[in-house]
Amino acid sequence: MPLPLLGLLAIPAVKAGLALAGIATAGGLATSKYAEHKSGKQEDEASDLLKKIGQLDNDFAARIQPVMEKCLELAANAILEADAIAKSAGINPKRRYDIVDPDVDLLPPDVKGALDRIDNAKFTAIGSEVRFAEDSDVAKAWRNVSPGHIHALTKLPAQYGHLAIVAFAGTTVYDAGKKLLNVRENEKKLNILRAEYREREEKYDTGMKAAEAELPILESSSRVVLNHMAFLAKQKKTSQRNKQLKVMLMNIKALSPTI
Amino acid sequence: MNNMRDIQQAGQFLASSDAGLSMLVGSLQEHFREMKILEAQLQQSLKDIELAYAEFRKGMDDEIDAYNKQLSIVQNIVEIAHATGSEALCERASIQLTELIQNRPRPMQEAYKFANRNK
Repeated sequence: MPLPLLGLLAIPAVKAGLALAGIATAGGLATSKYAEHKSGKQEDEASDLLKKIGQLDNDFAARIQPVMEKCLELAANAILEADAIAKSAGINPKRRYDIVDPDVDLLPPDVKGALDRIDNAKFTAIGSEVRFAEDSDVAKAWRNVSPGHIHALTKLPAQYGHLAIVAFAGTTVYDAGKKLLNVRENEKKLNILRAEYREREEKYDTGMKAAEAELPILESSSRVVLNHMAFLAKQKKTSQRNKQLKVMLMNIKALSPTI
Repeated sequence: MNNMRDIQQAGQFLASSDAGLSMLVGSLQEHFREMKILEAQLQQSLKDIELAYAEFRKGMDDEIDAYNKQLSIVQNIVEIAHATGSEALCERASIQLTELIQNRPRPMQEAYKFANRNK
Protein backbone atom coordinates (compact mmCIF):
# COMPACT_ATOMS: atom_id res chain seq x y z
CA MET A 1 0.00 0.00 0.00
CA PRO A 2 2.54 2.69 0.92
CA LEU A 3 4.81 2.00 -2.01
CA PRO A 4 2.32 2.55 -4.80
CA LEU A 5 1.10 5.70 -3.01
CA LEU A 6 4.64 6.97 -2.78
CA GLY A 7 4.83 6.39 -6.49
CA LEU A 8 1.96 8.84 -6.86
CA LEU A 9 4.34 11.72 -6.29
CA ALA A 10 5.97 10.90 -9.59
CA ILE A 11 2.68 11.43 -11.43
CA PRO A 12 2.28 14.95 -12.92
CA ALA A 13 -1.38 15.09 -11.85
CA VAL A 14 -0.36 14.66 -8.23
CA LYS A 15 2.20 17.42 -8.57
CA ALA A 16 -0.48 19.65 -10.01
CA GLY A 17 -2.82 18.62 -7.17
CA LEU A 18 -0.22 19.53 -4.60
CA ALA A 19 0.32 22.89 -6.24
CA LEU A 20 -3.44 23.56 -6.22
CA ALA A 21 -3.68 22.52 -2.57
CA GLY A 22 -0.80 24.84 -1.79
CA ILE A 23 -2.49 27.74 -3.55
CA ALA A 24 -5.77 26.96 -1.78
CA THR A 25 -3.99 26.90 1.59
CA ALA A 26 -2.14 30.14 0.98
CA GLY A 27 -5.34 31.74 -0.37
CA GLY A 28 -7.36 30.43 2.56
CA LEU A 29 -4.91 31.81 5.08
CA ALA A 30 -4.75 35.16 3.30
CA THR A 31 -8.54 35.30 3.13
CA SER A 32 -8.76 34.52 6.84
CA LYS A 33 -6.33 37.34 7.56
CA TYR A 34 -8.42 39.71 5.45
CA ALA A 35 -11.63 38.61 7.22
CA GLU A 36 -10.07 38.98 10.67
CA HIS A 37 -8.77 42.44 9.83
CA LYS A 38 -12.09 43.51 8.36
CA SER A 39 -13.98 42.08 11.34
CA GLY A 40 -11.75 44.05 13.70
CA LYS A 41 -12.37 47.24 11.76
CA GLN A 42 -16.12 46.58 11.79
CA GLU A 43 -16.07 46.13 15.55
CA ASP A 44 -14.12 49.37 15.98
CA GLU A 45 -16.55 51.25 13.75
CA ALA A 46 -19.55 49.84 15.62
CA SER A 47 -18.22 50.86 19.00
CA ASP A 48 -17.27 54.27 17.63
CA LEU A 49 -20.77 54.73 16.18
CA LEU A 50 -22.43 53.73 19.45
CA LYS A 51 -20.29 56.27 21.28
CA LYS A 52 -21.16 58.95 18.72
CA ILE A 53 -24.87 58.12 18.98
CA GLY A 54 -24.69 58.51 22.76
CA GLN A 55 -22.94 61.84 22.27
CA LEU A 56 -25.60 62.96 19.78
CA ASP A 57 -28.35 62.08 22.29
CA ASN A 58 -26.65 64.02 25.07
CA ASP A 59 -25.88 67.03 22.89
CA PHE A 60 -29.44 67.20 21.64
CA ALA A 61 -30.90 66.96 25.14
CA ALA A 62 -28.60 69.76 26.30
CA ARG A 63 -29.37 71.99 23.30
CA ILE A 64 -33.12 71.52 23.25
CA GLN A 65 -33.73 71.90 26.96
CA PRO A 66 -33.29 75.70 27.19
CA VAL A 67 -35.34 76.27 24.02
CA MET A 68 -38.17 74.12 25.34
CA GLU A 69 -38.02 75.84 28.70
CA LYS A 70 -38.36 79.23 26.98
CA CYS A 71 -41.37 77.98 24.98
CA LEU A 72 -43.05 76.60 28.07
CA GLU A 73 -42.28 79.68 30.11
CA LEU A 74 -43.73 81.85 27.37
CA ALA A 75 -46.88 79.72 27.27
CA ALA A 76 -47.15 79.82 31.07
CA ASN A 77 -46.74 83.58 31.19
CA ALA A 78 -49.30 84.07 28.41
CA ILE A 79 -51.76 81.97 30.40
CA LEU A 80 -51.15 84.04 33.52
CA GLU A 81 -51.55 87.27 31.55
CA ALA A 82 -54.78 86.04 29.95
CA ASP A 83 -56.08 85.12 33.40
CA ALA A 84 -55.28 88.60 34.66
CA ILE A 85 -57.00 90.26 31.70
CA ALA A 86 -60.05 88.02 32.16
CA LYS A 87 -60.22 88.94 35.84
CA SER A 88 -59.91 92.64 35.07
CA ALA A 89 -62.80 92.21 32.64
CA GLY A 90 -64.88 90.68 35.43
CA ILE A 91 -64.65 87.16 34.08
CA ASN A 92 -63.86 84.35 36.49
CA PRO A 93 -61.23 82.40 34.61
CA LYS A 94 -61.72 79.27 36.80
CA ARG A 95 -58.06 78.65 36.65
CA ARG A 96 -57.02 75.19 35.73
CA TYR A 97 -53.35 75.96 36.21
CA ASP A 98 -52.38 76.48 39.83
CA ILE A 99 -48.82 77.18 40.71
CA VAL A 100 -47.98 74.54 43.26
CA ASP A 101 -44.27 74.01 42.87
CA PRO A 102 -42.22 77.05 43.93
CA ASP A 103 -39.15 75.58 42.25
CA VAL A 104 -40.66 75.57 38.83
CA ASP A 105 -40.48 79.26 38.05
CA LEU A 106 -44.12 80.04 37.37
CA LEU A 107 -44.66 76.88 35.34
CA PRO A 108 -48.19 75.49 35.85
CA PRO A 109 -48.35 71.73 36.58
CA ASP A 110 -49.67 70.82 33.12
CA VAL A 111 -46.88 72.74 31.47
CA LYS A 112 -44.33 71.30 33.85
CA GLY A 113 -45.71 67.86 32.99
CA ALA A 114 -45.16 68.58 29.32
CA LEU A 115 -41.59 69.62 30.02
CA ASP A 116 -40.97 66.43 31.96
CA ARG A 117 -42.42 64.37 29.13
CA ILE A 118 -40.13 66.04 26.65
CA ASP A 119 -37.21 65.55 28.96
CA ASN A 120 -38.02 61.88 29.35
CA ALA A 121 -38.68 61.29 25.68
CA LYS A 122 -35.58 63.05 24.33
CA PHE A 123 -36.58 61.81 20.94
CA THR A 124 -36.33 58.23 22.16
CA ALA A 125 -33.29 56.58 23.65
CA ILE A 126 -30.87 54.27 21.95
CA GLY A 127 -32.75 51.21 20.80
CA SER A 128 -30.29 49.58 18.53
CA GLU A 129 -27.93 47.03 19.83
CA VAL A 130 -25.30 45.50 17.67
CA ARG A 131 -23.59 42.31 18.55
CA PHE A 132 -20.88 40.77 16.56
CA ALA A 133 -20.65 37.04 16.22
CA GLU A 134 -17.51 35.70 17.69
CA ASP A 135 -15.12 33.85 15.49
CA SER A 136 -16.17 30.34 14.86
CA ASP A 137 -14.73 27.58 17.01
CA VAL A 138 -13.05 26.23 13.95
CA ALA A 139 -11.35 29.55 13.41
CA LYS A 140 -10.23 29.78 17.01
CA ALA A 141 -8.97 26.23 17.05
CA TRP A 142 -7.22 26.71 13.77
CA ARG A 143 -5.47 29.85 14.90
CA ASN A 144 -4.33 28.17 18.09
CA VAL A 145 -3.12 24.91 16.69
CA SER A 146 -1.87 25.83 13.28
CA PRO A 147 1.88 25.96 14.11
CA GLY A 148 1.60 22.58 15.81
CA HIS A 149 -0.49 21.32 12.97
CA ILE A 150 2.13 22.31 10.44
CA HIS A 151 4.77 20.65 12.55
CA ALA A 152 2.64 17.51 12.75
CA LEU A 153 2.36 17.48 9.00
CA THR A 154 6.13 17.32 8.67
CA LYS A 155 6.14 14.30 10.97
CA LEU A 156 3.68 12.33 8.91
CA PRO A 157 5.02 9.53 6.80
CA ALA A 158 5.71 10.89 3.34
CA GLN A 159 3.09 8.69 1.76
CA TYR A 160 0.32 10.43 3.79
CA GLY A 161 1.75 13.88 3.37
CA HIS A 162 -0.17 14.83 0.27
CA LEU A 163 -3.47 13.66 1.77
CA ALA A 164 -2.82 15.75 4.86
CA ILE A 165 -2.03 18.70 2.64
CA VAL A 166 -5.41 18.43 0.97
CA ALA A 167 -7.11 18.19 4.38
CA PHE A 168 -5.09 21.18 5.55
CA ALA A 169 -6.12 23.17 2.49
CA GLY A 170 -9.76 22.14 2.98
CA THR A 171 -9.80 23.28 6.60
CA THR A 172 -8.18 26.58 5.68
CA VAL A 173 -10.67 27.22 2.92
CA TYR A 174 -13.63 26.21 5.13
CA ASP A 175 -12.41 28.46 7.92
CA ALA A 176 -11.88 31.39 5.54
CA GLY A 177 -15.39 30.91 4.15
CA LYS A 178 -16.90 31.05 7.64
CA LYS A 179 -14.98 34.20 8.43
CA LEU A 180 -16.08 35.86 5.22
CA LEU A 181 -19.66 35.02 6.13
CA ASN A 182 -19.19 36.63 9.55
CA VAL A 183 -17.83 39.75 7.89
CA ARG A 184 -20.97 40.00 5.76
CA GLU A 185 -23.26 39.46 8.75
CA ASN A 186 -21.35 42.11 10.67
CA GLU A 187 -21.65 44.47 7.73
CA LYS A 188 -25.45 44.07 7.71
CA LYS A 189 -25.62 44.96 11.41
CA LEU A 190 -23.20 47.78 10.91
CA ASN A 191 -25.36 49.18 8.10
CA ILE A 192 -28.31 49.33 10.48
CA LEU A 193 -26.16 51.24 12.93
CA ARG A 194 -24.79 53.57 10.25
CA ALA A 195 -28.33 54.37 9.09
CA GLU A 196 -29.44 54.85 12.70
CA TYR A 197 -26.65 57.34 13.26
CA ARG A 198 -27.57 59.30 10.13
CA GLU A 199 -31.26 59.21 11.10
CA ARG A 200 -30.42 60.61 14.53
CA GLU A 201 -28.31 63.39 13.07
CA GLU A 202 -31.22 64.42 10.84
CA LYS A 203 -33.77 63.88 13.59
CA TYR A 204 -31.94 66.09 16.05
CA ASP A 205 -31.15 68.82 13.50
CA THR A 206 -34.82 68.87 12.57
CA GLY A 207 -35.86 68.76 16.23
CA MET A 208 -33.72 71.80 17.00
CA LYS A 209 -34.99 73.68 13.97
CA ALA A 210 -38.57 72.87 15.01
CA ALA A 211 -37.99 73.93 18.62
CA GLU A 212 -36.44 77.21 17.48
CA ALA A 213 -39.38 77.83 15.14
CA GLU A 214 -41.89 77.10 17.91
CA LEU A 215 -40.97 80.07 20.09
CA PRO A 216 -41.78 82.90 17.61
CA ILE A 217 -45.03 81.15 16.67
CA LEU A 218 -46.14 80.90 20.30
CA GLU A 219 -45.00 84.44 20.95
CA SER A 220 -46.69 86.04 17.94
CA SER A 221 -49.98 84.16 18.24
CA SER A 222 -50.30 84.70 21.99
CA ARG A 223 -49.24 88.36 21.80
CA VAL A 224 -51.85 89.33 19.23
CA VAL A 225 -54.57 87.45 21.13
CA LEU A 226 -53.57 88.99 24.48
CA ASN A 227 -53.59 92.49 22.95
CA HIS A 228 -57.07 91.93 21.62
CA MET A 229 -58.21 90.53 24.96
CA ALA A 230 -56.80 93.58 26.73
CA PHE A 231 -58.69 95.81 24.30
CA LEU A 232 -61.95 93.90 24.80
CA ALA A 233 -61.52 93.95 28.58
CA LYS A 234 -61.77 97.74 28.47
CA GLN A 235 -64.94 97.68 26.37
CA LYS A 236 -68.50 97.79 27.63
CA LYS A 237 -69.51 94.58 29.38
CA THR A 238 -71.78 92.62 27.05
CA SER A 239 -72.48 88.93 26.73
CA GLN A 240 -70.89 89.00 23.28
CA ARG A 241 -67.70 90.58 24.61
CA ASN A 242 -67.56 88.10 27.51
CA LYS A 243 -68.05 85.17 25.17
CA GLN A 244 -65.19 86.35 22.96
CA LEU A 245 -62.96 86.84 25.99
CA LYS A 246 -63.75 83.38 27.34
CA VAL A 247 -63.08 81.67 24.01
CA MET A 248 -59.73 83.41 23.66
CA LEU A 249 -58.87 82.71 27.29
CA MET A 250 -59.47 79.00 26.78
CA ASN A 251 -57.31 79.02 23.67
CA ILE A 252 -54.47 80.73 25.49
CA LYS A 253 -54.80 78.15 28.26
CA ALA A 254 -54.31 75.43 25.69
CA LEU A 255 -51.01 76.96 24.60
CA SER A 256 -48.16 74.52 24.79
CA PRO A 257 -45.47 73.46 22.38
CA THR A 258 -46.55 69.85 22.84
CA ILE A 259 -50.33 70.21 22.49
CA MET B 1 -3.72 -2.96 -12.16
CA ASN B 2 -1.62 -0.99 -9.73
CA ASN B 3 -1.07 1.66 -12.35
CA MET B 4 -4.80 2.00 -12.87
CA ARG B 5 -5.37 2.51 -9.16
CA ASP B 6 -2.53 5.02 -8.98
CA ILE B 7 -4.01 7.06 -11.80
CA GLN B 8 -7.46 6.91 -10.20
CA GLN B 9 -6.10 8.12 -6.85
CA ALA B 10 -4.07 10.81 -8.55
CA GLY B 11 -7.25 11.99 -10.27
CA GLN B 12 -9.16 12.09 -6.98
CA PHE B 13 -6.35 14.01 -5.36
CA LEU B 14 -6.21 16.52 -8.18
CA ALA B 15 -9.98 16.91 -8.06
CA SER B 16 -10.06 17.49 -4.29
CA SER B 17 -7.29 20.10 -4.48
CA ASP B 18 -9.01 21.79 -7.37
CA ALA B 19 -12.34 21.73 -5.51
CA GLY B 20 -10.75 23.45 -2.50
CA LEU B 21 -9.34 26.18 -4.65
CA SER B 22 -12.61 26.64 -6.56
CA MET B 23 -14.49 26.85 -3.28
CA LEU B 24 -12.17 29.56 -2.05
CA VAL B 25 -12.42 31.56 -5.26
CA GLY B 26 -16.21 31.13 -5.21
CA SER B 27 -16.45 32.30 -1.59
CA LEU B 28 -14.35 35.34 -2.31
CA GLN B 29 -16.35 36.26 -5.39
CA GLU B 30 -19.61 35.87 -3.51
CA HIS B 31 -18.24 37.84 -0.59
CA PHE B 32 -17.20 40.86 -2.63
CA ARG B 33 -20.41 40.76 -4.64
CA GLU B 34 -22.51 40.79 -1.46
CA MET B 35 -20.36 43.48 0.15
CA LYS B 36 -20.97 45.66 -2.90
CA ILE B 37 -24.73 45.06 -2.64
CA LEU B 38 -24.64 45.94 1.07
CA GLU B 39 -22.75 49.15 0.31
CA ALA B 40 -25.32 50.09 -2.33
CA GLN B 41 -28.17 49.34 0.09
CA LEU B 42 -26.56 51.52 2.75
CA GLN B 43 -26.10 54.43 0.35
CA GLN B 44 -29.76 54.12 -0.65
CA SER B 45 -30.93 54.07 2.99
CA LEU B 46 -28.85 57.13 3.81
CA LYS B 47 -30.21 58.93 0.76
CA ASP B 48 -33.79 57.99 1.73
CA ILE B 49 -33.28 59.31 5.26
CA GLU B 50 -31.82 62.61 4.04
CA LEU B 51 -34.56 63.06 1.48
CA ALA B 52 -37.36 62.31 3.96
CA TYR B 53 -36.05 64.89 6.45
CA ALA B 54 -35.38 67.47 3.75
CA GLU B 55 -38.98 67.11 2.57
CA PHE B 56 -40.29 67.35 6.10
CA ARG B 57 -38.28 70.51 6.81
CA LYS B 58 -39.45 72.07 3.55
CA GLY B 59 -43.07 71.33 4.54
CA MET B 60 -42.45 72.85 7.97
CA ASP B 61 -40.98 76.03 6.44
CA ASP B 62 -43.88 76.35 4.01
CA GLU B 63 -46.39 75.97 6.83
CA ILE B 64 -44.63 78.63 8.91
CA ASP B 65 -44.55 81.01 5.93
CA ALA B 66 -48.28 80.52 5.40
CA TYR B 67 -48.88 81.15 9.11
CA ASN B 68 -46.87 84.37 9.05
CA LYS B 69 -48.92 85.64 6.10
CA GLN B 70 -52.15 84.74 7.92
CA LEU B 71 -50.88 86.43 11.09
CA SER B 72 -50.20 89.64 9.19
CA ILE B 73 -53.75 89.65 7.74
CA VAL B 74 -55.34 89.00 11.14
CA GLN B 75 -53.21 91.70 12.77
CA ASN B 76 -54.55 94.20 10.22
CA ILE B 77 -58.13 93.17 11.01
CA VAL B 78 -57.44 93.56 14.76
CA GLU B 79 -55.88 97.00 14.26
CA ILE B 80 -58.85 98.21 12.20
CA ALA B 81 -61.27 96.76 14.76
CA HIS B 82 -59.49 98.55 17.58
CA ALA B 83 -59.25 101.82 15.63
CA THR B 84 -62.92 101.86 14.70
CA GLY B 85 -64.23 100.22 17.88
CA SER B 86 -66.75 98.41 15.70
CA GLU B 87 -68.33 95.51 17.63
CA ALA B 88 -68.83 93.53 14.45
CA LEU B 89 -65.20 93.94 13.48
CA CYS B 90 -64.09 93.07 17.02
CA GLU B 91 -66.10 89.88 16.88
CA ARG B 92 -64.66 89.11 13.47
CA ALA B 93 -61.15 89.73 14.84
CA SER B 94 -61.84 87.43 17.81
CA ILE B 95 -62.96 84.63 15.50
CA GLN B 96 -59.93 85.08 13.25
CA LEU B 97 -57.61 85.14 16.24
CA THR B 98 -59.15 82.00 17.67
CA GLU B 99 -58.65 80.24 14.38
CA LEU B 100 -55.12 81.56 14.10
CA ILE B 101 -54.06 80.30 17.50
CA GLN B 102 -55.85 76.97 17.12
CA ASN B 103 -54.43 76.31 13.67
CA ARG B 104 -50.95 77.63 14.32
CA PRO B 105 -48.10 75.42 13.13
CA ARG B 106 -46.78 73.09 15.81
CA PRO B 107 -43.29 72.31 14.55
CA MET B 108 -42.12 70.53 17.70
CA GLN B 109 -45.10 68.22 17.80
CA GLU B 110 -44.89 67.53 14.07
CA ALA B 111 -41.14 66.95 14.18
CA TYR B 112 -41.55 64.54 17.07
CA LYS B 113 -44.28 62.63 15.26
CA PHE B 114 -42.20 62.51 12.09
CA ALA B 115 -39.06 61.38 13.87
CA ASN B 116 -41.01 58.53 15.44
CA ARG B 117 -42.98 57.64 12.32
CA ASN B 118 -41.58 54.14 12.10
CA LYS B 119 -41.87 53.25 15.77
